[in-house]
Amino acid sequence: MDKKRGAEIEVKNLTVGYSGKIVLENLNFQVATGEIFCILGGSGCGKSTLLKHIIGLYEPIAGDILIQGDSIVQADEQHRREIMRRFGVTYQGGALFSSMSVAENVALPLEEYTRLTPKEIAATVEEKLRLVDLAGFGDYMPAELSGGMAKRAGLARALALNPKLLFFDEPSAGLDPITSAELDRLLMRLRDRFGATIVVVTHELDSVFTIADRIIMLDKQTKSIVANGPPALLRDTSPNEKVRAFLTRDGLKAAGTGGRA
Amino acid sequence: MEQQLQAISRRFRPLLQDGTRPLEFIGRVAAELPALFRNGMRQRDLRYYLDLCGVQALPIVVLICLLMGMVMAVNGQIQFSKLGQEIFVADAVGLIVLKELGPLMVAMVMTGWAGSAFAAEVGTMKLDEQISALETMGIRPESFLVFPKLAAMLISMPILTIFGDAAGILGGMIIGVTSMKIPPVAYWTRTLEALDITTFVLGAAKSIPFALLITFAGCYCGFNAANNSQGVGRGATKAVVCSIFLIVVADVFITVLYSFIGY
Ligand SMILES: Nc1ncnc2c1ncn2[C@@H]1O[C@H](COP(=O)(O)OP(=O)(O)OP(=O)(O)O)[C@@H](O)[C@H]1O
Ligand SMILES: [Mg+2]
Repeated sequence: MDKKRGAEIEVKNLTVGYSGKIVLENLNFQVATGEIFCILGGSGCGKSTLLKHIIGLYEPIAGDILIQGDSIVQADEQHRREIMRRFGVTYQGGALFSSMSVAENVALPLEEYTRLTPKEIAATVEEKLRLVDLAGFGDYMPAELSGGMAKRAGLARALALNPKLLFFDEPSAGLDPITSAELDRLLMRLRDRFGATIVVVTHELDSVFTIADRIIMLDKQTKSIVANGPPALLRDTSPNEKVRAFLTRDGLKAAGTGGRA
Repeated sequence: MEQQLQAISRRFRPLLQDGTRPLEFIGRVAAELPALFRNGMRQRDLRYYLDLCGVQALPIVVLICLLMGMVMAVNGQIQFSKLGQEIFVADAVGLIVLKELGPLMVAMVMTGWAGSAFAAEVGTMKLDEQISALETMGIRPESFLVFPKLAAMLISMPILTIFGDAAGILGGMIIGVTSMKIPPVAYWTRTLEALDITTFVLGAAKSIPFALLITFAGCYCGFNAANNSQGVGRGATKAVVCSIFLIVVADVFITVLYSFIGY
């Protein structure tokens, strides 16, 4: 398979949907290595759907998705799992395993995929928890964490194997502005310090303008991408009125993008 | 014509899938067996389920089997006293407990105790995206979640059945001694004469297929629960109903099988 330099993710002619009902049609875009890439759009336009297809949870109706040059669509199950191991995913509610403590959650991928000794694993877990400001919370059970803490713990688990590629579904939904700003800083730190590529589904415009290098905007009516580029540039110069309205929060209803959730 | 055929196939495909999907599920779990033997399983999970399915279930299993033994003895007393042969209550209770009632009651209790818990647990994990999280970690959720439960059930069900058998016989003995005034030694000797080790082993062996059925029904219903809280509740109910049904069907088959070898 040809490895295109600079493209961490390549989406080609992708059509996704549920049991024959098409949600998004014929998408084409790339995510470059080392950038923070945001997926925007009105509620129900298919952002989560797109993300779940990119990470290989669902099979697309048509098209192809290349992760670091390997097709996650055509891969057999063994190979798909191998591709999945290269990236980390943080789920909306954290998706921590409720029967394990926070530390055990973070340790799980290390136990499964590395030959580290228990001591080294404990050290790595400690380091990851410190990274997300949860040092000292290793012994807590997921039920004892607040929503924001659970999300950050989920991030620590996603970071356990030092993936170069990270996916987020609405990282800041339900977080207070301060925690959400901290999360933004953390994402930028991951990009700048570790060269991580980060794909984020989000509604928060503040956060988009702070962190995103590039965005795509999805549209429910046309089932396609209506904008692709740096957020500030799109806000100021996009020929599409809907896009400008969305990015400036003006007249969302009037422009018919469906409003924000 | 083609349209009609398609309509028919659309109508029956879900029915067919109801039949094939559980098999597919079992296949997906079984395919991971080699990896299980290579890597072992998480000891912590195994210990948790051993505690849940074994230690914690023991008191209720013993209590129910004891009471069932007593109930049978009382009924037996009514019948056998007509013949003046009350000592045969010991035979009746011993045989019924070892052959049917012990394994079956344990399976029923464990269906409610463990099967429903498995379904609710897996269903909630699915709802919570924990299953998706496992998958994107490259871990197969089916085997990761099923093996510890299955191992714990396969270990604890036979042991629970032994305890259940003993409790059932003890229950019969309590009635025999108190209500029928049979000396304990006489009741015990009679019980030993009526029973043999094969009867006991064949009865207890049933708990192995029962354990498999309860675990698979529970996990399968959890994995296929609808993605909402009502779905999780219905999944747990379904797990209980399915596994009771499957246990009874399996018991019929096993009884026929045993009858071929003369038991
Ligand atoms: N599991 C599913 N089965 C069938 N249809 C679904 C499923 N999940 C989502 N959909 C449909 O797909 C469309 C897109 O949903 P999706 O969750 O991707 O939207 P979204 O852009 O993430 O919205 P939000 O911003 O509110 O999270 C919706 O019309 C929804 O009804
Ligand atoms: Mg969404």
